[in-house]
Amino acid sequence: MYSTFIGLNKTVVLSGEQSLWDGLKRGNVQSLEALYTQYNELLYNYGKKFTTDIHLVQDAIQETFISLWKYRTSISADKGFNYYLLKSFRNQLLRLIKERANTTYTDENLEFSFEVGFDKQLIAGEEYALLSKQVKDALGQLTARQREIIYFRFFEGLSFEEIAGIMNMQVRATYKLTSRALAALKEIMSILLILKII
Amino acid sequence: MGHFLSPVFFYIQNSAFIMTHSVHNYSNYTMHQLLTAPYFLEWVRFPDATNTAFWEDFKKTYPQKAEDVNRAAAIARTMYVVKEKPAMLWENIYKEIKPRSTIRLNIIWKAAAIFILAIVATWMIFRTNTDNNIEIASHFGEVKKLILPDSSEVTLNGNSTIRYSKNWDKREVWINGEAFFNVKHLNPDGFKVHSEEIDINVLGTSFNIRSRRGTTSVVLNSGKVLVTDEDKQLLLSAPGDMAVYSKKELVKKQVPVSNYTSWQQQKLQLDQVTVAAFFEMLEDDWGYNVQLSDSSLLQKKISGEIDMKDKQVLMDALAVILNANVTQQGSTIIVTTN
Repeated sequence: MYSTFIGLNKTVVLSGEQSLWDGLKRGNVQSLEALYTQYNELLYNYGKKFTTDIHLVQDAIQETFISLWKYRTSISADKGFNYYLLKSFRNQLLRLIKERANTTYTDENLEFSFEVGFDKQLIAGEEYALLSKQVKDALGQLTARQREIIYFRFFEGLSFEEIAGIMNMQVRATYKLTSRALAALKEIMSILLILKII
Repeated sequence: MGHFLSPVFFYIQNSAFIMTHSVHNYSNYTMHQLLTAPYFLEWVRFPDATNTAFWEDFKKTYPQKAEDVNRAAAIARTMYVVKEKPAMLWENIYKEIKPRSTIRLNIIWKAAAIFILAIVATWMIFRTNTDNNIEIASHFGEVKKLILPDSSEVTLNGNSTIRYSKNWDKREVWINGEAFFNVKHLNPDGFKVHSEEIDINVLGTSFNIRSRRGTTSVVLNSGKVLVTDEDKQLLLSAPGDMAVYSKKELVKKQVPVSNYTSWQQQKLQLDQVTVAAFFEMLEDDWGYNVQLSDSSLLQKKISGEIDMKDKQVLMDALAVILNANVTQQGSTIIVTTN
């Protein structure tokens, strides 16, 4: 009844999600609905980083699931369902954004921004405000693609291989971009702090 | 250009990155600076032997910084991206992909059908609902009450579907998932409920049906029902009579009714239920995905009442019942034994 997949972290994964994908392949609409219920929040929150237009994000989610249904028999999700849906959704959303912009649009002039929070029990009041601002400024200095990588790596916990695949880039390029992004982030942070201290 | 090279990060093929810098680079770091230092964050989020050794070494070399390291790590672990709860717009997707009923015809009739379809198509486009069935479904974790055309009441558990003919020419419904029926106005026509596995002829009033993973169970609350599979019939006539169809076999037992109907109040009453069966319920009705580190836990039996309304209460209850650490990430519940 349970799949016996053992991941790197030695957890046993129950059949839930695999059975949804199996159901989808057999043409079960309820499986698609369950996948939608499960992934709507993840995709929506990721999509909102690119644009403030929620209708655009909702449309992209809708397109993603309609095409998931359309191509259900030929889909291979061997790199993980999470990965498959994020990649497919990213392509749909960027296509819609491009159409909307009605110009030649490249990944270079994409937006990607998010707000970081901390547990207020550990850090409060003025210190919280200060730290939030520092992180915000530091992120603001990065390019959109760099912020997207940081989002995936630190907040969604994806591997560099997955990030590269989703963002349509070579793995080596992700490493480079991330190391550069991280180096830049650190550099900016220390400059800001030095300026404050002096 | 100079400062962008310091610190320099190197990646070796697919492995984690190794830095050329030493612990001394961080000797002047404040707690805040640590919190935005990439190598520090990488360690907090993805600890491995190399980066753990590095930061342990740092704490040993600069003992006055140990507290900052611990505090920064604690805060970094709580760092999150602000999220929103999106609207559920499944109906819009469903409208686009709605399956059309399939009709099997021989070749001659196919040709005729294509011709007729061409004529009818235009008319069809303007019809809003071409389906002859009404299908009502509940989301994961949703308990939905509805009233059938004959004013019988049905309560659907999460992730369940009821289907019936639009014109209600027969009092007959199909169930996928779990539902509680309160059937009204009994007359000689009777009332029929079908699951994938069995048929139920309702002779009395209220009962619960659950159809999941190839197993259907019917528990009588009041009145009488006749449960039929391919070759057998069972009459349930006393409250608490239960019929279970599983692996091509239909058997009868006696159970406490409330254990099987309390889901309507979004409560689960468990009485010597295996952890495996309980996790299946969390998956099937609530859409959770459970991961656990110790599969021997699955055979353990649990008893008690769990309130499903408050997610935090559920997580806490799970932790106590299973004597394990329980954390939730989105719809995934991770259970790690102590």
